[in-house]
Amino acid sequence: MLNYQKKLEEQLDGICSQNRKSVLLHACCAPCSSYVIEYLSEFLDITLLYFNPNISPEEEYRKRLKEVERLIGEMPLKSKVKLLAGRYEAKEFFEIARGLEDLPEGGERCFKCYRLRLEEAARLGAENGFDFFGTTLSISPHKNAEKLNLIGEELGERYGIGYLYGDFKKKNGYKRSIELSGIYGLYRQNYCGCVFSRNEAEKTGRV
Amino acid sequence: MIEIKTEWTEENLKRYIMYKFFFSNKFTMVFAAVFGVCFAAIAASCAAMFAMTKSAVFLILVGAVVVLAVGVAALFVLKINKNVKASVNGNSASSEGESVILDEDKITVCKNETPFGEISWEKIVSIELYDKGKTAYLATEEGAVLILEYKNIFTGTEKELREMLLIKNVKLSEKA
Repeated sequence: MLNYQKKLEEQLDGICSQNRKSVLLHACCAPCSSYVIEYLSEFLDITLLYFNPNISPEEEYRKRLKEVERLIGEMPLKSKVKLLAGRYEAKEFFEIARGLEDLPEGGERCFKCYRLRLEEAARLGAENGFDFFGTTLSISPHKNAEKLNLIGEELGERYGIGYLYGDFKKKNGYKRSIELSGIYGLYRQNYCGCVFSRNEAEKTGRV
Repeated sequence: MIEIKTEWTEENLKRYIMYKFFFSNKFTMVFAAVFGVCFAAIAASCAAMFAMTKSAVFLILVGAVVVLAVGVAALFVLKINKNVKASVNGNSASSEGESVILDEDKITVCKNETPFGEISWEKIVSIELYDKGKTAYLATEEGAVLILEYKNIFTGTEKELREMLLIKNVKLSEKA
């Protein structure tokens, strides 16, 4: 497996600080975004895209969105982070998950969910003239960073926009996200977001 | 800091073996499934042949295949039970009262709440969280396995334990 943290560092080395580039960064939630924006805001102008039609129920979606808004309002960063709240149409997620409902978390259903969310970031990023698009998802040890980056690469080529590599859990990224969640009192969910992950978490007593 | 009782019981060892054999190793899962399907296919074919030909040979073959499959499964279960019993009997006296304290720097092994040894996180070669079984398995480079059942946590919470282990697991994957 490629070291995507190294690939990201190579990309960031190539970015000239005089002429800051912009990234449309898909954000799944505030805890995951915390370390990623702390790290990337040193190099890039960030707009977070909160597009997560997988999150269920809708009140959970709204709750996590509010936390993202609060985080970027409170966290002192090198440059101000903007937020773009995407549409919430749960049926978009259920369409891609059809036939895969019984798969455990981390399988094909999750890969389709990565693609659904990353594709929106790629599309909007390209339409709005961002230099890069990316995602905070790889900060989670439960997410498949290799798959995320392969999907991102492919979408970047398709939409003609740079893809920002990432394996943000590395170099103590995941640990730092937990620290920042404590500092800012962020709501930390016990399941990824979709109803299937919620059911799994309920079975293991995490919810 | 998390403090958690560690013990080897027949139940948790069997769960560990089943987890290693069926859940954490996709190859053995697939192999066992293919094996089962093959046996079933052979038995079904012989039964079909018997139905068509009424030849006792095929009836005997069906019986033999079923006995073979049941025998293999039974042997497997008996072997596991034997190994588990031997491990538990060999360790039960010495593992009584044992617990570990996990912190950022090390794992402290305690006996009746008195520290008597340390394991550096560097010595841990694999960390597996089996959430369905509410257990985490830590393997050392010497081949020992720490079985951490979430219900045995004295100090700290399950969430804190899982987070600590996830962080350590990320570090482990960076070394690999």
